[in-house]
Amino acid sequence: MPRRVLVVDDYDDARELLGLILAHVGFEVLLAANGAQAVEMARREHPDVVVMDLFMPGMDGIEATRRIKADPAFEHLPVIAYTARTTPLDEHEQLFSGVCIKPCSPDRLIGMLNAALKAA
Amino acid sequence: MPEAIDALLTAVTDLSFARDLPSITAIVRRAARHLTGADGVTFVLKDGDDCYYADEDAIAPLWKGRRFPMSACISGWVMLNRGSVAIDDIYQDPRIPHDAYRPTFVQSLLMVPVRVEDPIAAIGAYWARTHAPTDEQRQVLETLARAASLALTNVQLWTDVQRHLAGEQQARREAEAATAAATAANLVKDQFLATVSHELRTPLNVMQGWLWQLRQPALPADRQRQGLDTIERNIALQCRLVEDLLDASRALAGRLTLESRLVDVAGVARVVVDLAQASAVEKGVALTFRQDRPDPLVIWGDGDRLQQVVWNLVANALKFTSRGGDIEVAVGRAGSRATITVRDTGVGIAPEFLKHVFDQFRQEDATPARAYGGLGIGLTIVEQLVRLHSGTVTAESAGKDRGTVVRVDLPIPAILTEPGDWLRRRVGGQEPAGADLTGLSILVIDDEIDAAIAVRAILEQRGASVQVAASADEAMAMTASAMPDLVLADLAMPGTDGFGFLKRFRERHGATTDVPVAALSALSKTDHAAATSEAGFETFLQKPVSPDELASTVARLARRARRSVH
Repeated sequence: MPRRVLVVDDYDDARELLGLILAHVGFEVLLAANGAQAVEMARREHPDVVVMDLFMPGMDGIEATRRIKADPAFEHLPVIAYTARTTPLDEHEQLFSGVCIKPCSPDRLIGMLNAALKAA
Repeated sequence: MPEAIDALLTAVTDLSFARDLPSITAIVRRAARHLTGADGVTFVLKDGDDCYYADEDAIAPLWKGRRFPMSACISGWVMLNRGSVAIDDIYQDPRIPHDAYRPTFVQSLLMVPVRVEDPIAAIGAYWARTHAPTDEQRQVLETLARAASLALTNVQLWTDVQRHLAGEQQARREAEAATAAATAANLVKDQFLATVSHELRTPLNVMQGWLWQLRQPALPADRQRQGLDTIERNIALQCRLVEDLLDASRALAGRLTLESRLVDVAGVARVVVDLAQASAVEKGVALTFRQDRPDPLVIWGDGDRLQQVVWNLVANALKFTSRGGDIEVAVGRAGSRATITVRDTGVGIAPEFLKHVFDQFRQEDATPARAYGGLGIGLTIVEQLVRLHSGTVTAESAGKDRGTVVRVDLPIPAILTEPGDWLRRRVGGQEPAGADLTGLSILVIDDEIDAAIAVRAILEQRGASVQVAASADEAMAMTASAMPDLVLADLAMPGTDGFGFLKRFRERHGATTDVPVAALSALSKTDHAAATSEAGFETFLQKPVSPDELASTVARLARRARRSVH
């Protein structure tokens, strides 16, 4: 059964592309364009893994991840931070199973997703 | 006399603790009277060339608060002569200004200077009877004077120290403020670098991803096209970011330059509105252009840079205005200034951020949750460019979500503001009358931009191609690369003047060319025509020159020069 990945990014080009790539390598892809949508979708769709952009208008990726994981049902849901931000995440880093800095090769991201799924 | 010694010691001790002038005078006058048993004492301060009777203690009023010239009173005499004086009967002594003493009780006196080596004051003791002051009285008063001298010096030092300490404290406060400002500026800079990095990485990431995708076998043709389109779009986005960065860096280094000529501001603004229309439609924002009067709004400036100014303002307005909003770009004229106003119904600016909108790298919201991308340098570039045009830019907002109005004011050169002048006709497209200068290249040298613009416009209007140099040096550089058919030189210019230019020009090029050089000057023709002719100017054109006369003279000189060459 295909694994379900939730891709969260406010930049249309980036979101759409990642959806295509992950579908191409066999994931079932869910897309969210902002933090609030991401929280709502995670609760409803129960993805196996999340790729989360951090810089987003309104609710940012850190806050969205915190809200998703506040629910005990999602406490162990692996979330990969996927961001063009290069400043350290500090105490927020523990929220994520991995941090992928853009630009990031799709192979590396796919590798991180698979590793996170295996660990989960 | 132990009682007197005790009183003197008390006075000296008190004086050593005194920290201001009133305390010193109070101690001195009380002790002086008590110790000498005089009927009155005065404390006199040297004030420039005057003696100032600062304080007194007497049986009847003396001269407190009054000033006398040093040369016309006895206190002045003791200070000038650096020694004490005792006078048994003042009305027998020629050094005493008797008129000043007649209203007083004084018959005899003792006067001692304070700080004998360089007197700054004097202490006087007075009696209502003729009597010879004793040595003892004189010694007591002199001792008191020495103590007062030390006390006055102390006060001076004390004041200096206080001032110094206050200065140090001030300096420390200023240093602390500067450190705080530098730290804040560094924070802003760090934030800016993080933003730049983020904004540059985002499109790069999309490109890298699509390249990966395009390398996959059997990708459908429409997917390939989508990928290429997306890559192209992101390259354009990144190029624009890099351009903005370069402009910002030039702006910060003060290296932005203008290539100025006559430019119609209204036309520039209209072009930008046309260019931005597609983005506005896509975003669902109404973008309109308004011009109060249909005539061109001509200034002296760089058209490309002005377009960049309006473009940045419109792009900002689009960025911060959501679907259903309005943006209006209006051009108009306020006195001798052209105005461009960009008004939007967008998110507005919080009052506390309003003063920072033109600061480099500043963004009202630089947090990860910020709703708007960008580098935060657009308005910095706008401000720099407007300033280069000698204009001003201001931003106003009634507050959050109440829209923003940015207004740019650009000066219109005086030559262009006179009503009904020929320049406006020219810009309006009417044909000029008079000589045809088509094909002639003319170099105009004038340090006054208004004058140069006017001459250039007259000549261009008749078909000539005109270059303007603001100085003799600039003109020499220009003629080194391309020789015009004719040079029109102003005479009075800072640095090398018109005569100096002609001399250098002939020295450099005299052997190879005899391009005519004419003087075009506001100097009096009657006074200077002979000198200019002697120096080798072809003719003297008196400013203000009528367009027709200028054109016909230029045509005549150029024709003659050409004939002589061919």
